[in-house]
Amino acid sequence: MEGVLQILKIPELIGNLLAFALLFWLLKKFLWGYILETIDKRKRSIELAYQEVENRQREAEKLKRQLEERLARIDEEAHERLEQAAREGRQLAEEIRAAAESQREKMLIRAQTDIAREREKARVELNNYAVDLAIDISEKLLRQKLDREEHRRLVQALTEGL
Amino acid sequence: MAVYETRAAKRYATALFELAGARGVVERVDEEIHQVASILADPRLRRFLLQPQIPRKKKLQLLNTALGDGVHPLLLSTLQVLLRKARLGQFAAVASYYDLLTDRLRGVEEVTIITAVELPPEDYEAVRAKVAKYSEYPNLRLATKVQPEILSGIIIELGREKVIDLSLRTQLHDLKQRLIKHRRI
Repeated sequence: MEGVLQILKIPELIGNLLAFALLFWLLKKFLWGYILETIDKRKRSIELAYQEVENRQREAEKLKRQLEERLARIDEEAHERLEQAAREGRQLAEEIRAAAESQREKMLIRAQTDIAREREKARVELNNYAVDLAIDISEKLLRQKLDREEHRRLVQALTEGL
Repeated sequence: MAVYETRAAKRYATALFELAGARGVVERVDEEIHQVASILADPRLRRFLLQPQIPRKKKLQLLNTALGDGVHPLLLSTLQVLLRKARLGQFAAVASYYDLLTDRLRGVEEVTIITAVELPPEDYEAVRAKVAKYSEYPNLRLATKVQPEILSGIIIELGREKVIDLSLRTQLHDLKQRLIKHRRI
């Protein structure tokens, strides 16, 4: 025991202890609060930074979702526009086809009317020509065939009803 | 009637007729007016009387010399008036209408029968007898004409206004009109 004490050098030890206690007290008195405060500040700072990261991450995700939604909408709108354009194209094609059909029918009707008119005209002219011819022939025949006695009988017959 | 009776000719004829009636010379004037009309129908005389370059005085002298004693003064006066009014060219029409007025006075209407060939007189008489009922006058004076262009049949002209057309030409024409189709397009 005595040897241990010799090794330890009690007074030095006590002095060291006192010095340590003093140092500890001084530290506690002047530095502890500052250290704790610094640590606390750092901790809050880290927490805030972490929170900030989380917020940013959330915002990024939100933005990503919005972008995805927007992209989806854009796709949908583009699809809708394409559909609309296709519908309009089909409608336009239908209108053009209907107009062409109508024009074709009008031309057909006009052509048929023209043909009918020309045919009627030709028929009337032919008829009139035949009538002219028949009357001319009748006149010539009457001039040639009627003798005085037949003229006389005709006059008598015609004046019978007077 | 071949002569176209203008309103002026009718006025002159009516005036002459009334004056002649008042003097009791209707018949005489009627006879003379036809003679004068046939004289004035002579182409040379007609040319002379209607030529505007020849003075009216000379024309009057000619009329007086040629007709002066031969026609009733009323008729001569009428001729002079016609000459002065430059209407001597209408004398035939005046004579024609005077004839009509005289016929009316006598109760006579002229019936003109037109045929393509000449008919026996009894046929004309038969027609006259048949159309007598259409006339307002008791006597019908018959006149006949031959016109081959009517082909056959008969045309009866009664007075100035009534015509009964029974000619084959007209019947053929009517038939033709019925047969001819008019363009509808």
